[in-house]
Amino acid sequence: MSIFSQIWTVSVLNFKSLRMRFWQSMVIVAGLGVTIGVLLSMLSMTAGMKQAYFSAGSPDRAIVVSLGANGEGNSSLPRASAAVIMDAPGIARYKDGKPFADAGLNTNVPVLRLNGGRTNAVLRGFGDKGIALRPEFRLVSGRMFEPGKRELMVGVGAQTIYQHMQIGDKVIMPDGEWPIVGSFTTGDILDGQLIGDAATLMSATRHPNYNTVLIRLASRDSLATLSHALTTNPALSVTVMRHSDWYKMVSDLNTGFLSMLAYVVGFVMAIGALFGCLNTMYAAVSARRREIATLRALGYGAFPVAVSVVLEAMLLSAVGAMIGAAVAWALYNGHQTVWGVNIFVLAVPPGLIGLGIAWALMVALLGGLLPALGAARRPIAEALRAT
Amino acid sequence: MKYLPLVLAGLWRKPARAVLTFLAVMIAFTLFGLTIGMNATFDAVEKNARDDRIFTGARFGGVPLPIALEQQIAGMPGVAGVAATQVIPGYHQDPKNRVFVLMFDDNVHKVMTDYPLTPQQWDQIRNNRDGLVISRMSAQRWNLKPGDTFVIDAPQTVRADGAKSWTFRVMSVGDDIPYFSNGYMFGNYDYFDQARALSDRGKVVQLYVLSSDPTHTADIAQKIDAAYANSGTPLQSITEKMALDISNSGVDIVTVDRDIALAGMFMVLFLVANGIAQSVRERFAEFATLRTLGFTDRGVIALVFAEAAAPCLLGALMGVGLAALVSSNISHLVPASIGTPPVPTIDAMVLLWAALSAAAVALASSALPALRLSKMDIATALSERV
Amino acid sequence: MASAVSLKHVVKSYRRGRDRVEVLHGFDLEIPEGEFLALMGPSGSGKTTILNLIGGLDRADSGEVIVSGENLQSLSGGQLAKWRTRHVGFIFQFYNLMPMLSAAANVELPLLLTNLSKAERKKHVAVALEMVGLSNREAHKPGEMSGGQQQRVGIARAIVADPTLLLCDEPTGDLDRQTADEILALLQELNRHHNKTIVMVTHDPRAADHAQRQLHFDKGQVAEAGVHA
Repeated sequence: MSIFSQIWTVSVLNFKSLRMRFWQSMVIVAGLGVTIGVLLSMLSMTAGMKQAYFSAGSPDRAIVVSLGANGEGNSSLPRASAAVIMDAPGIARYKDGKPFADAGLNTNVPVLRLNGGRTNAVLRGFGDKGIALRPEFRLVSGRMFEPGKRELMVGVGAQTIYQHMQIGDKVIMPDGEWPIVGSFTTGDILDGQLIGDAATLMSATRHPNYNTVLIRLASRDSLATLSHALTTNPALSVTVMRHSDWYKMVSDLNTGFLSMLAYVVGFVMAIGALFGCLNTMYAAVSARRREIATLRALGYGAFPVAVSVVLEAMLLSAVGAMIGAAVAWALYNGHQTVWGVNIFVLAVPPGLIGLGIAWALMVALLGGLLPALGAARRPIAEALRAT
Repeated sequence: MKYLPLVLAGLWRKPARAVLTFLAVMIAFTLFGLTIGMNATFDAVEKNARDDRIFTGARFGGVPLPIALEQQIAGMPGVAGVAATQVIPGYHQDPKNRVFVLMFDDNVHKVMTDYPLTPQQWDQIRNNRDGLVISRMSAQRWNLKPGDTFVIDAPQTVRADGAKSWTFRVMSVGDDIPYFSNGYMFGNYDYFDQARALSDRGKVVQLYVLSSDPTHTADIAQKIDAAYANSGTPLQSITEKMALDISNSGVDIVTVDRDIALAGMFMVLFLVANGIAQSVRERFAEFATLRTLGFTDRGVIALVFAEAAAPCLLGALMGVGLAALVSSNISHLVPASIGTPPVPTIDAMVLLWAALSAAAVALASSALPALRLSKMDIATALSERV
Repeated sequence: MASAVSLKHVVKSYRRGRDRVEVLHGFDLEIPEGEFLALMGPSGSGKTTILNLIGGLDRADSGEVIVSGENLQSLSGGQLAKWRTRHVGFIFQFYNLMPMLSAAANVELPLLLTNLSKAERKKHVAVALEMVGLSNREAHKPGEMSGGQQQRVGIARAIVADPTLLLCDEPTGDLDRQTADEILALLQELNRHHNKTIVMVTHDPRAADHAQRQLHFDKGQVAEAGVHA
């Protein structure tokens, strides 16, 4: 009999006797179920954040912020600087030479959550090219804001989390109440934000400077030209990044801690599950001592026996992981949550579930290996003799 | 305690099982200690929040406020004192190493009376233009001691001479303040204000307001905002109690922590329950023999419970101990670029919760086996032995 | 001589599957103090049932079970347990020792249920082990002993609390001829020199010959009685 059919035969025998070891086997299922469930639940936050940030960036765009700024809100570009920036090479231009670029504002406005809590929402100011730069932008209802007017648009995400965000509602601004005239969606992090006209907003909030300049690159390769021109200009102290890279950085910054936390917690629980797995597999091997010895006396090799033990552990842990993933998905996938001033949709994507199952299989491999080796090495005669 | 050898001997019948169970329990309780300890920290910060203080800042987008507001608000009814602060957001050497230095004016020590700074330390801030009093945590993180120089690059805080780098001298180290979970650095506002670019002078980012009547603090906060709602500098005031209430931050961290701790307990429950059930099943005849010697059915059940409780309680103790060890070293374990998370407090309360959870797991685990034992017919159980 | 054991009109039945099987139908038995009695008979004849009733391990459906002057039927579970420690010692065919405890610890077990101090317990254990000739093996675990030695530990455990009554269920069933004789000689000595009343259930006629009186059972009745000097 080939190695594979041996493994198959022994494994099938194994699983048939699994019913007698039901509750012991449940220890592995429960252990991994809980571990992967917790891991994926915690990672659903970072997965959602990464997704929202990733969609917001584009490799065809570049963003200019003040030197060292790690968020649009921390960046400050005086008007004069903005003008210089928009003159740089590497920017896509219209037939009349005007740059396909937009100096924008990024500030906060106090809002009320549906549960009554006070918080802030991101308020963006767009120049005349702000929307054109974002082909992903789509008007959902109402109309666009008009430049020079004191009116706002709200993202569809913000509408579900904050009070008074419907068309016609008024938002309290420093110089009075501004009405919401329309809602939009971009499919990314902007869905949780409000937008208005940059110039009008700047005077209302007494913001003398812009926060960022968003640029459509002449071509994907022109970033180097643009960056060089801006960073070597002594009148400017700025950082230039591809928009997709910028959001990757922002995403990493904001998810770094949470990710690390999730993995640490997951790792610790996995170790606990590992001990449980070892315990169960040792007991399983012990319970099947005579059966294994008999198989080996009949001529089955030690290796197939060992493999069947590991396979049993891996099957049980995979089942546990899938249950845990299913629970995490059911509880969190698609749910909106707020983190700071941003709104995210929690996600348990297939990739994450795959990661969870991979973790579980890893644990099972380690947890089944030692008992498997023990089963393979035990002298046959001794096992047959044992009561 | 004379029964202890019997209990331990029962556990040690399958040494591998006993050790693995204990280890898993210990790991679960380490997680328990860290998460519940984290909640204890949040709780302590919230409890220690003063009910007579208000933080006032600009209503829209973090615009700097004119320092003249300090005197104006100080004159309002119900206000016992006002202090002003400005912050320098910068980095130390690498843009990833973010640092925030808080510049205090002369009134801060009157309003923030509970800060653990000695009068000498307040004087150090007042009398040294580039002096800093830093927290123990910051001293550890940046490896600083009194007398050291500390340079920050702050691209948004321009000096009068156009430079954007600020050099400070560490005067002394103060005790950590829970509110500043990443550590603090306090400097002198007046000297700082004089050193910065002309156009930025006279601006502060936040005012600390002391209310004269703790029961009316929230009202006073609203009055302040109302007074400036239509001015050139609309304000947003939030009481310290609300500011330090973690449940306002969006994600309910407290529940998440508790859920993680519970998940760990669930995992452990399965393991321990299975172990005890197996053990009792294997030794049924032994328990019957004990009954023949005169052990009551309650006595035998007590033995089983003790066998379940021993690894649980010991694991809980060691797990929480490990959690305490990790907590005290968190600043060394977490890379500085990520910042420092709030440090879990492992106090007697956490230990008590752990012990109770351990007892609950032991109880739940021994329930069904105990039931089997109580129903045991001694004669049958003895004859079942082959 | 007073009766150590007195069974009057004892009825006992068991549930086997769905049927009720009556094993003892109004059974009477008197065992005088200091007697060494052997109970013999095929399995199912009721001999083990009688042993269990005398030891308070089981309750009769009706009738009286009086042991050492105590009416066992009137004792609660907790009272029975206490009574057992002081008045009865059990000796089993497969020794029923705790495999993870040393001989001394095994023998000490009944004493844990008393109020004796640690020092007093140690003394009693030493005496018991001496009586069975195993003083030099007190630290060994059952797994390190022969069958005969394990049974001696079982006997030591049965006598350590100084009960007046010893109940033995096939005590030599798992031992070879020579070791069985040694054990039976030990039981005889306990009976003759220490005045222990012994009731022994056995299959083995040679073992029964060591007793003073034999009762042969069949279907819950005494079929034949024999007396041995």
